[in-house]
Amino acid sequence: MTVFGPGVGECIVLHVGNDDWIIVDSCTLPTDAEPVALQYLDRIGVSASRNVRSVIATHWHDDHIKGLAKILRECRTAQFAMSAALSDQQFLQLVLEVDAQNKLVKHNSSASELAGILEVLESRGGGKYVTGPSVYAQDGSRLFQGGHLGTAEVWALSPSAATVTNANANLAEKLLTKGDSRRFKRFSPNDLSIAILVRAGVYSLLLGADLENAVANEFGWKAVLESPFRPKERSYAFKVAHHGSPNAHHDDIWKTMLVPQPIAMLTPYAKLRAPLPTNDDVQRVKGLAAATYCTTWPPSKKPPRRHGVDGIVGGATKTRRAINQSSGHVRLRLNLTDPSATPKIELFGNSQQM
Amino acid sequence: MTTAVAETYLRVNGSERAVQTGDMSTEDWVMPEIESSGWNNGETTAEEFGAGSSAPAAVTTTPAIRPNVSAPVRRDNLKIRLSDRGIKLLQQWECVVLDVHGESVECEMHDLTDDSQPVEYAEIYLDEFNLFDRHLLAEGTVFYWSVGREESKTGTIRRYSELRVRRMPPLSKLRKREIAQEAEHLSELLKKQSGS
Repeated sequence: MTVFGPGVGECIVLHVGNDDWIIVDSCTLPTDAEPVALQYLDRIGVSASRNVRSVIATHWHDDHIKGLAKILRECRTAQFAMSAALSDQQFLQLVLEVDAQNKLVKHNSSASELAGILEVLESRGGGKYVTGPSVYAQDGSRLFQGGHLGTAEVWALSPSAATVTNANANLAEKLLTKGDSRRFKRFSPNDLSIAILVRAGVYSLLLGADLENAVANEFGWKAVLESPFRPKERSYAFKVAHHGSPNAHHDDIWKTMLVPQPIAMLTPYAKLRAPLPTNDDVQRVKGLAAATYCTTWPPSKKPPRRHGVDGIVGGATKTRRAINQSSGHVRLRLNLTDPSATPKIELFGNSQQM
Repeated sequence: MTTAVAETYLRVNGSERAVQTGDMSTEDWVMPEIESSGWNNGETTAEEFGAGSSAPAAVTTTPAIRPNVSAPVRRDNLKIRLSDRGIKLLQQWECVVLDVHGESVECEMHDLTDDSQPVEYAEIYLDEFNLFDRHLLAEGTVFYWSVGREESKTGTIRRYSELRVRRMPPLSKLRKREIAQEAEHLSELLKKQSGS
């Protein structure tokens, strides 16, 4: 499992054996429009078009889907899984309208990414049918089977049925922002996040996406913990949910879904007043895990100095930080047949052990 | 001596010229030196002021009062215009609003001057935005921030900063209709595919 995460953005590439690869979410680096997952696969000699079996969009936030349309275009044989039902006509119309307007500005939004995905899906069926999403993921859906001995599996642990029902009502209103509605809201669709359990050989891994806690038991992590459908084994490693934020922490995740002292992986999110994870978040996770890694640290840094500019900008701003978008990723290698073999952790770029 | 008349005549370079304020803009006005202003130490006669005027001239015989400020005259060969100021841009960002609080706007800033610079996160005071732009600020709004130096013709240098919200032109009716058809088509395909 390789976890990518610059200051803003998250992507996970999984090899589940037998040359079967899975991509969960997507991000790009500011200097390069090519999705990090495609760059990585190309670098290690894996054919995206032949070997990527599944592409999963955990939820529709900018930091999780940038470059996803390109991935889907390249990975021609991959199945595509996402959470909320897309078929609402009002929602589609809004997405396409926003996409038409987004072409006027340089930095496009998640609505354009979704429009790109729709275009890929439509072109796959020659306009007569849509070849994906292959799965509308929900608690208890199996998103993939294959890989090692044909027994590797990927399971969706969320969203719950109640969440999907709730989201389908006025989907457009819930997902798109007010104003000129250029992008998806930052936090409200987190309930729709697909938390994932990957089972391969003797190991399983828990990918928390951006799933948060909710007040009612039918939503968020409480729904996952109480679900009768989810596989009950404990995971060896955890991609900590929602960038380590306290609103995604639940003690029972660590007690019942993970082995004692698991490996924890964090990705940062720097587009906030207090970037995630905070030092408190890191300490909390470190107290529960055998080893904690972050793909990029620190999430943000001082902005570059520029004579004649800093004074003006400094006087007009309350806070100003440069997002740390250096490339960083953490790779965990596990021997799928031999649990006694030592797992191997490799750190690249700006990643570090906390 | 001075008069209150509908049309005023002044001597400029020895000739009389009508100054019709209705045809002039602020950028046409200059403040001439006293010696060329046409004031002749109170020797201007009532006839000179009243000549050709259809309005009744209220002529007084009080002693001439020399004004202590220059009077405005039109001189076409000397123009002071706003466009004459030179602005040297040092930095420009395309910004996207993330959130709007009471006194500040959270945004991400993409450097348009130098693509290799990192994306920044900033909270900009709401006061910095033009009044007519503020109601447009909401999550997803795009605005541009230009920072530089303003140099006047006389050599004065001032700091320059402008925040301007991007107005998205509305889509044409035709484009909207095309999009509605495309959305309907996609919606049908997706519903068929998901079996709903």
